[in-house]
Amino acid sequence: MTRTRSDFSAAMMVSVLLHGGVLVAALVSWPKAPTLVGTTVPVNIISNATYTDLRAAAKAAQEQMATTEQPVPDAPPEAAVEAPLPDPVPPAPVPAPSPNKPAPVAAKPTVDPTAKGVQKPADKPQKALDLDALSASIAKSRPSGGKSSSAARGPTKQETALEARAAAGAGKGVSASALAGLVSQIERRWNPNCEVEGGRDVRVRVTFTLSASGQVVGAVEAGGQESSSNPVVRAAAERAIRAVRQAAADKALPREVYGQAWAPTFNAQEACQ
Amino acid sequence: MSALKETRTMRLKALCLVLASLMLATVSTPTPAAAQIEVNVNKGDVQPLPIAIPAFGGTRGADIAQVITGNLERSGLFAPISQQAYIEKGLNVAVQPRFPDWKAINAQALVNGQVTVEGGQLRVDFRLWDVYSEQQLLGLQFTSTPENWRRVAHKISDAVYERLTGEKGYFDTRIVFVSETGGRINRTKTLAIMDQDGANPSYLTDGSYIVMSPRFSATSQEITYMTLRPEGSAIYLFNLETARRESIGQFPGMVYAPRFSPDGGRVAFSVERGGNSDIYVMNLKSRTSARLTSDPGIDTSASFSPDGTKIVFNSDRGGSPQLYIMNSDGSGVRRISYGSGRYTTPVWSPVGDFIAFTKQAGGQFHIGVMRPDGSDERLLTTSYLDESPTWAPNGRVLMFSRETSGGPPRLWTVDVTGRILRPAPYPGSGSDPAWSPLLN
Repeated sequence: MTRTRSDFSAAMMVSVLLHGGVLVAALVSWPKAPTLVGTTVPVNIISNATYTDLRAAAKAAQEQMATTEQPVPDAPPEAAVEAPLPDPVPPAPVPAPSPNKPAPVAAKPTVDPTAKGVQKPADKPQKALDLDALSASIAKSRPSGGKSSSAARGPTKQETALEARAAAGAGKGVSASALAGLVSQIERRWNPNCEVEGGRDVRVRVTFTLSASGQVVGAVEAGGQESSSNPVVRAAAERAIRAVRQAAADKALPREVYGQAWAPTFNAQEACQ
Repeated sequence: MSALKETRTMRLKALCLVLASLMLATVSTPTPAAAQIEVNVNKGDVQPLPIAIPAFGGTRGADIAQVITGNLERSGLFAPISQQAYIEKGLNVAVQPRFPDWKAINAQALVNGQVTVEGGQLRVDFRLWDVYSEQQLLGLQFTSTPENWRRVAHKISDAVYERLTGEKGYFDTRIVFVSETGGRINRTKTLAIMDQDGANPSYLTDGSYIVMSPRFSATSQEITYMTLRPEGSAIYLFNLETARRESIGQFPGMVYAPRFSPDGGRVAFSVERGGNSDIYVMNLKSRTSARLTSDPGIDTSASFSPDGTKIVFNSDRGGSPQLYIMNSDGSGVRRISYGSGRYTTPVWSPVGDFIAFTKQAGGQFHIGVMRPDGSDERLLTTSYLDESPTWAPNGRVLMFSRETSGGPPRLWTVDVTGRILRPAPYPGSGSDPAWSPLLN
């Protein structure tokens, strides 16, 4: 029996060491080699010395009076225009900074068992959130004074409010305050391109998924607008994507927004007013 | 026993079938698309885009970065981050930046580059990065002669501006203007030219006579301007490439306010005779002129639409100076301004969406814009004396001259929204600016 215990202890120690080693290996961030970037696309400026050097022009004191009958010689041909700029070579993919750690067991989004259709994933995108209605519902559900009960557990008042549930998309189990928190974080990071022609008219719908641990899963996409042939639309889509990436990296996001697929629509017309 | 075995075999087969069916169903049934929660984002934090522009490597690398920084900052759409805040130093253009270091200082975009001088040629490689998407947005190489380093910096500024805003840049351009020196009584007015950032100023006349209203051709490095001498006024064409200077001819009366057509083949101008001013247009090849207006009022400041089919001008035929549009052959005149005050110096935007003008009302001067049909009038500036607007080639920025009470005129810029108003980077006194098209 003693011998069995001794064997067991040794096995335990080996097991602990092995697991510890794996954990340390997972936590250590190995220095990564710099990522080499692809070659550039050459563009020549065909510069004309007399074109840029104005000394000759400045010294020209003699003025020539042309007679009205003499045709003016054609202007010299323009300097060659630089070649159209091709798309840049995409950079090499960046290796992940550290091995993927197993995702911690995430707390599932709060679900209101009383709501209908809670278990069914919606096949169609939910109705867009009306923030005004949302604010109103939050205001309504907020107690007019006094301290909130410390005994409260589970779903919040806002979430159970009918208006909030309709706005948030029933079945997602995301409270109205969490939704508002996410939108607020995105709004703080969104810098719409209001000053350029057409920049105020762009609506961009971005789709992204947050993992249960708060990481962006896969690509943040703008329905192809990020590669639009209209440069203003493309720039607007890139700004929206940038806002999402910045907001997603914010650790202050409500945890309820994790583990969900999101589709914010950026309305520049409203934001630029 | 045999029956029992048979039953077991059948059950086993059934179980296998069920399992196989389940596996098949798992493989073949598409996973339902994740339901997306739709939200509307209707507010933003509108501010200049934070951008990092560290000194490029190599000779002139720091200078080039400084020119790019100045250009983007002056546009009002970018907020270059101080180099002292940078965490990653010594970037290599062939190596991807450490994005977390740039995120840490809130840089949204990063421009880095390398300058190489080889065999008498200047080569500048640069890259534009989206810090948060960790992607390269641009990667270009420019080659030129070493003395052209500022133009290369302007070209890079244009490329960065266009990629991040979606609009054409306007940095590789020049301004021709009237440089003013001396007192109010004996002021010398000299034709001058400079880069849009105030660099490389040069004088094109010697100051012995008055020069007014210089204008760039939209198609070549040619300008037209008016001179005023004791013997009278004249309109000249001046080719900056060849230094050839010529008058467009003699006219009875005073000629003034010349402006090229968009194709550079015609010049519209005004001729004043006996107290009446009318607009003429001259074909520069045939040297034939045509009179476009014959109203007894003062018709002047003609400016072509970008397609050359229309002309906007100001006229006091209705009492006070107002803006009118006509076809380029003089037909179809119609008034477009109806506000109170006096509207003068209209200039059609190179992209066609607006007409800029000077407005005098309530004892103040304004630079304003309106749509070509007269709608959407907006006053962008207000001061003691603002006048003579000129458009940047992208049609988003205007330069004009501003004079304070008793002070000399200075050049200023304002964007088409009126929010970005600032002095032009030219320390001297200047008036009557004209913006060139983008250089080739």
